[in-house]
Amino acid sequence: MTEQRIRTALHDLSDAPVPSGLAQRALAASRRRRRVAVASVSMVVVGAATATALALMGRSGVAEQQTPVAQPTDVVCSYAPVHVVDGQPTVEEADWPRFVRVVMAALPAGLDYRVHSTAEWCGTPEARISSAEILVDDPADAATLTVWIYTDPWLFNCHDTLPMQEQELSEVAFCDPGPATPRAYGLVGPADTFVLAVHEGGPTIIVEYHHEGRAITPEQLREVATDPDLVGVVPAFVGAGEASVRGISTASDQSRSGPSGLQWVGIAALVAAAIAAGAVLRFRRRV
Amino acid sequence: MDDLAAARFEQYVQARQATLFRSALLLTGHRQDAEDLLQAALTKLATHWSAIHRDSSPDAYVRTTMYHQWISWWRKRRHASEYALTTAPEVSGTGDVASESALRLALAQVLRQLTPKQRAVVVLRYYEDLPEADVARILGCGVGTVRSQVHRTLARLRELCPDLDLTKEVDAV
Repeated sequence: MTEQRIRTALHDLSDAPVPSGLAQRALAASRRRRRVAVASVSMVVVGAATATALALMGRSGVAEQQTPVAQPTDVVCSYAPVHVVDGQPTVEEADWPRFVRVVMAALPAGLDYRVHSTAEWCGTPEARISSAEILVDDPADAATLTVWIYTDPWLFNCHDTLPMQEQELSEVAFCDPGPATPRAYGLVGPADTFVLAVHEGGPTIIVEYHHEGRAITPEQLREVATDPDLVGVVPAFVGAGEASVRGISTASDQSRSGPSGLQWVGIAALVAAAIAAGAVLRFRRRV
Repeated sequence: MDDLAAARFEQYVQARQATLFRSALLLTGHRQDAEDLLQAALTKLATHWSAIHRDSSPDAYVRTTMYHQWISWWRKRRHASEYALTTAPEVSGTGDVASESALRLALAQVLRQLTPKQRAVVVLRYYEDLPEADVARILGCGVGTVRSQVHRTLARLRELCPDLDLTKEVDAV
């Protein structure tokens, strides 16, 4: 098949009437999207101002014995630094997080791997995620591996129809019925392999392999996902309540710091909200 | 967006919609998906029209957006299993020669068996005639990766559709 034949065939194949009104619909959708964004920002601003005001009003007359209410807060990811090496984004070995070192040690030897990016322990206090994107930088298999570690357990049942299996893309390579742990299942498609392992005590490890040549077998990926050393590097995080309580002040703290300071903060927040609302309204008129 | 910018946007879409729609059709293999994909990309373009029109190429933006959007949809559909992959490929009915229709049908079926990235490589390289460096920029990978993808995709096309050659040979004769 020559390249010219492909070009000709593609042109023949794409010879279809063009739908009408694309530009008008795009403009209308864009304006609608902006309006929704503006409305959302407005609601957030008003909500934040109201919440601040209510919190300050409540705190000004708070009793000493009042129990602080802990709210779960999102945890920001910790990223390893990325450098460009040979034109590719690369996390150098010295910067690999511990779980990446374990993954790299567990991956089959004989292939070249390049860590593209890593993210550690973000999400919410009760369910955190770490991930690493690894390029299988090998002439035999220019593929990508993504490893996810979830601190919470995922449930699966081998008797149920697994979501990906319903498609013709994947077939089940293995599925451990339990109750012994770690339990794992693997799905294989023409260009993807998906392995999930749930360990005792919660951590769920997922390895996604998008491949061309399938140089790594599902069983080899299973060994990575069920590696006990990988579970060993998952830190024990504090619970949601403890994590949040550390970030807020108690009523007694507040009485020591003085309510007048907080009220000033509240007033400043309300003024900022009013300025933001004005800016939003001006932006809305432009849209 | 002011009226002048909106008018320029409409002019751009009017001039480029045929080419862009055909690329979307080749990427998705499905007319309705192609329309949705192009519509989504044009909506994003409209949202950022002023900056893109001033600083970069709207074509490149739309192509990149379509590619990434399609990958995203494809992955969601693959996980959600809500998409009938067995749907017969749609081909336009403009050709009335049987061999041409057979060729289009065969190619459509073959394209459907490629991964989205392989489809994108074929479309960008052989339909849009973009140089490898531009394809690499759009796909977010290196030129070497594009070359290897092209090589593998051609090999896969040959493997999946030996009849395509035969059909063209007959057609050429």
